[in-house]
Amino acid sequence: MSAMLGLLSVALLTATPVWLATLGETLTQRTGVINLGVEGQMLVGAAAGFAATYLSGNPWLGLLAGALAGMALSCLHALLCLVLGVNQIASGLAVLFLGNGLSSFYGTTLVDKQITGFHSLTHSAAARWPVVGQFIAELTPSVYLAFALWLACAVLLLRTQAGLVWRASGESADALRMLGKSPARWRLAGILVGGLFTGLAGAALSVDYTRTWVAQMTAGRGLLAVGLVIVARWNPWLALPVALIYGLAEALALRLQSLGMNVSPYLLGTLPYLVPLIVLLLSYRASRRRGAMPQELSGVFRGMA
Amino acid sequence: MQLELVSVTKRFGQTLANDAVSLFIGAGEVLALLGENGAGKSTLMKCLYGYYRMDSGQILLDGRAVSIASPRDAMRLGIGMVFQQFSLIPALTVRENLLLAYPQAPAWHGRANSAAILRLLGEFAPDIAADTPVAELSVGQKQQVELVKVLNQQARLVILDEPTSVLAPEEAQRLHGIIRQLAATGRSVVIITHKLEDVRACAQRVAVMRGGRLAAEVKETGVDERRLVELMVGTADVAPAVAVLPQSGITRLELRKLSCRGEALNLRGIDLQIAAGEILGVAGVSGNGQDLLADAVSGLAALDEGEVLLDGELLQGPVTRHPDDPRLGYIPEYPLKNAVAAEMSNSLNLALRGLARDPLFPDRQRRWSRAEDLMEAYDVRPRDPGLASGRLSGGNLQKLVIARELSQPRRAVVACYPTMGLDLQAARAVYEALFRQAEEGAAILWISEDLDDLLSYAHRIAVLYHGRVAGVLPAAQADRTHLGQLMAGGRLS
Repeated sequence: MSAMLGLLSVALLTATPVWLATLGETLTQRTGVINLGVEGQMLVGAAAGFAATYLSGNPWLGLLAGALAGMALSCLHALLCLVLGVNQIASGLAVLFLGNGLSSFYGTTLVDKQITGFHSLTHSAAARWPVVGQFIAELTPSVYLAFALWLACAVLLLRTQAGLVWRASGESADALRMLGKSPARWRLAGILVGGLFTGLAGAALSVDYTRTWVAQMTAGRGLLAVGLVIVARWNPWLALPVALIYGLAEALALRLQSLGMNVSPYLLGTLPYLVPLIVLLLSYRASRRRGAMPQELSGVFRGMA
Repeated sequence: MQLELVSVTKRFGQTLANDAVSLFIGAGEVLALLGENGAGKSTLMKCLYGYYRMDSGQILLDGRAVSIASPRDAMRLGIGMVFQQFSLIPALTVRENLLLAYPQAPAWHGRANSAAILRLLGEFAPDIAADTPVAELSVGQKQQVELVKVLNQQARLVILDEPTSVLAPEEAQRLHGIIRQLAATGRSVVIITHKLEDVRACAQRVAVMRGGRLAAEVKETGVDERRLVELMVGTADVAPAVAVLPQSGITRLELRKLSCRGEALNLRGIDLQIAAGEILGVAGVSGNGQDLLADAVSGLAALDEGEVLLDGELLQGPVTRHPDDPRLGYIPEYPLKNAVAAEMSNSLNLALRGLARDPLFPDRQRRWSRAEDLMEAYDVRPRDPGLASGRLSGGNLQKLVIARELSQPRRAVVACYPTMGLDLQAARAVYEALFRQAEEGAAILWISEDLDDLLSYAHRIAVLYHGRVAGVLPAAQADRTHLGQLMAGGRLS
């Protein structure tokens, strides 16, 4: 029991950055825009978050700085595809590479720096609760923050009028225009909120999970999140389970490595990326449904913004 | 609410779409705006709805002049319009679609607070569950939701643009009932149509338009329908000019014990013989296997058992299928979806038959000039072989499909609702092309829901019910009651 809970808490800790990024990209895509720049936004968020924590000594400030940095970079995507009409795929890739380059360049001074991060809950009162106490104590504030944001987003998106308009913007720009609303404005909001969440995801990775900064430390988590949006069928509720699948696979890979399995760590490292892909295949075959994709996303390849 | 259009004029470039049209719409009145495609009836109503800006003229609401510059202005004055293309979002539920357009929608969507939004849905379409995704509704149900959406915005005048052209007969009857119900609650309704059936079913007054002008206004009571046709078309004679007699003794197309599995229902043991030059009409309420029958005969659907023979030769069977056999012409239902690649040019779409037999580098010049000739001969407008077929109007698209399928002599033709949504003259052209094939000796399998047309032009009528042939009657001995009984699953008495 405690071994299972132990694995689960490691999985949750590992999954949190991916969870937040998946949630953010889901929100973006539900307005009818695809943003492939998630990885770049995460890197910028991770660098800015780490720097802010290092300078101020306050990890909460670090998370805030990371989120804002991610949002700032996403403004470029908004400018390119909403204002200038650049193809979204091209624009997203530009954001990805720019974020990668910027964070590596300005992050060189941060390498090998030490930060304290959040205080551990291991010695708090909650840790002495029966059964779940240890589990709760092992989780960090960013996990709880992700949980709160996840609840809030899913409820706002699926249960309110604003959320309905948000979703409608991803389904039919024409329908939105007929209601006298501007789809571009909702898409701007979608891109910015997505930037905020992915920046936060990056900061959660550097400030709370690894507590270090290395160039390109996201290692494909951002692109994975774009893929997980599809696995989760654009449903914010499903962002947690799909991110957990990734987290469990990663935790398993780490466990196998520590047990001294005679498998190349490079191959083991592909496990967290392979498993969600297999889940995607299986779940699609089982449900035989390709649906749920916001209809406006199909316009990406028609060359419209 | 009383509404008056005074001398409305609207031009598109050189064309005069509305020429000083004046029209009165009374409170609680159902007015049918009758006319052929291009008569200017939709344009006139779109001017009223603020979708177009009129060049000159006036709109008087209860005697006062109002200016309507946009659909939002029109809505504010209580004027709503339901278009042929619905603006519903398929992925969202009925409730969500209604909430989206509701003027004072609640910020929080609880179960309790959508009662006001759903009240009119319960009144006009009680059989639609609010939590069904719109994608799962039938066309008629979507139209009802669209109508409720407009009514929810306090519309006191509702304009319906060709509402029955996309509906099956029973759905159209349902809509006629709803329209009478709207009038009974004091709302005014304008129904834009080219069908006399709509006039007969629910109009209190008819305004006939032709060539952008108001040709006549008639009180419906005791109206002479031939006179209406004459006013609308300019001539009372709209029957196809071709009369064919089947060549007895030669069975051209034969369906033997044909069984086929479909998504909704299966075809079981269909046995039909069609002689050379014979027109076999297939009647039935939509959804009884018509589309599957057409797909099976033309080789698009796989047969489980049985066979289709053409001149005694195997055409389709459980093992072999020839979907692109040059001896067979096929006009499918919903041409935009099933007959053309909408994003491709007219020139390519006209060359689709036999594409697999074309060389690797086809002669594009020849393809283009052939397209020009065909579009000329079948009067497809605009005559632009390079235009994407999806941008043609419904009538012109159907003409394009007819040109491809019927410009060459065929041995057999399968035609699925070939005149759906077409006006009288366009329908006449389609019938003439179809019957000319019969004259040349083709066997025609003609699926239709228009019993009047089937009774007038088919030689025999087969009724399809739940995937089986309920009966086959010579048209001369059939009548509406007879066919109606068979269509409802009754037996021949």
